[in-house]
Amino acid sequence: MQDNEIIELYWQRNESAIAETDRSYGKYCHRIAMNVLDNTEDADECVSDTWFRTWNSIPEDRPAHFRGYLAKITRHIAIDRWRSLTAAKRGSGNVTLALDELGECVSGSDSVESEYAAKELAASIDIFINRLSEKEQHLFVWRYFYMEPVQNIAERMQMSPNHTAVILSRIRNRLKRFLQEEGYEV
Amino acid sequence: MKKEDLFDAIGEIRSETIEKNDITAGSRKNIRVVRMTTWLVAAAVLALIVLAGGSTYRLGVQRKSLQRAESPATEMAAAEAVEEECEEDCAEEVPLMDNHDTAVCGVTEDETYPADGIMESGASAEKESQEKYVSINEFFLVGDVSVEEVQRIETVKVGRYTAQYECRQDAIEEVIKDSVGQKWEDDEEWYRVSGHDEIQYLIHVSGGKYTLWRFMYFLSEEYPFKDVLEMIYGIESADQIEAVAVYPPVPDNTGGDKGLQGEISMRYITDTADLQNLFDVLSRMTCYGRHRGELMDNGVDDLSSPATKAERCLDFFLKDGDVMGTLKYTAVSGMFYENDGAAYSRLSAQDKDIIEKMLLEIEE
Repeated sequence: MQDNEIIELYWQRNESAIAETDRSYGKYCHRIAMNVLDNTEDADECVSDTWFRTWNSIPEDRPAHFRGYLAKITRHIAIDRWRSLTAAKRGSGNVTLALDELGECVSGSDSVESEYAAKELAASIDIFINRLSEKEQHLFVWRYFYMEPVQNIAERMQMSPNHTAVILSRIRNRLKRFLQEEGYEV
Repeated sequence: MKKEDLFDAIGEIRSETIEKNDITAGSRKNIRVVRMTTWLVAAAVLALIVLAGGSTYRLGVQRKSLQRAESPATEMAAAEAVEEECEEDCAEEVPLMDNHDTAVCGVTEDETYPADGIMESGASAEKESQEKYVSINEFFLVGDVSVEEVQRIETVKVGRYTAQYECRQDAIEEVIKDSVGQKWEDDEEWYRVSGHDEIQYLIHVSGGKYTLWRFMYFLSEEYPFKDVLEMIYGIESADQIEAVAVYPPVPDNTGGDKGLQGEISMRYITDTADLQNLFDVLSRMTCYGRHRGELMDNGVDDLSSPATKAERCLDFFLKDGDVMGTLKYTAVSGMFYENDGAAYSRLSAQDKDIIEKMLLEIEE
């Protein structure tokens, strides 16, 4: 079933929308959740929560990019769950690694910058991503949105993990400079 | 700003961006298979054309006028040799990858490397899937090109060095204009080539004019070659190197070299341990800059020591598809050098031994 047909089901408040979404995007969202949580049961629950939140957000939203829309919801839910699990000493170390890498781009100070709206900052990051080459875009989004392990990214890109890490490091440096140019105090 | 702010914001990027970089999209292995299949089909078609027509199919043997080319005599000799070889077995010749700036030694910019499949891996397949990647080959015309004879050199700040870049006046401005990548550092006039991490080439934009420039040297009496590898070519470890093509230099037509060259074929170093050894040796070298011919001895004055037997040219093919142009090695003095007189430190006895075991295996 096409995305617009699935969305139409949501608009009609037809519950088969969830089954169709699961059929089309269940594995995709599960993979995103697994990258964050590294636990099948937690990931399953996360995906279920994604369908629930999607059901509640459509028809208010009418996403033009349904796949990406679901990915964002899944990531958001998975990160929330990861934070609560981390507090309980569980959760994937993969997120910690990605977070630490991003820590190189910022000072970590808890100043006024932390009050920046995530959406405003996200818009800037979007601009930054679109200035990257296609390969760099893949690397950045796979690593820091999908939180795919570096080893997996390297295999997909047919590069060595070391080379992949080097390119990611350069991208982070460029992100830091870009954010500074945009007026953020990083 | 805290890293968590950044992390959360990345979760809010546009859905379109996420979709464009879908983690579950077709793997590069598939792309590679498709591309390999394409080449196989192309090779088969070429073979049929040659067999059916009985004519000589000349593949990529047209030569360009290159600023860094050898003398006209040796150029002609090399072109003849390539054409003769092509007439014999060009059905086996398949273009593999961008081989820009490999014209200094025995391989010209438009010649193709032997079709042993080595270069088909990752690199070119990877590039094919990247819309914004511009292969350096795309900048140059095939065939004889008249260019200004006056060499133009500009300096660019690269880290703690001032780098000299040489204008490639044979590059096509329309292509350059469409290939402007990211701004180089804070410089308003210098840009990377679109899709390139490394800065072997930069684009200069000034007064509405677009020109392509190639790295030459750092302006310093001596500097570690490791800095060039890292800062210019982006090579920080041996595993970024896919293969190294090793081949004899263009023969001196006046001596017995031509015959020797025929005996020594091009081959590739692909063994991981060999690549690591080569990278380690290169990383230990010091470059003394350009026009330092007085520092080197490649035995050209010793007629009893045919240069080709003691010399090899090396082109480095990187896994991301880029090519690091030609270095020459002479066993006479145990040194790497470049055609325009750039000299590198003499290798230690141990490094010399390592390099020569790799480079000078002459197929008897």
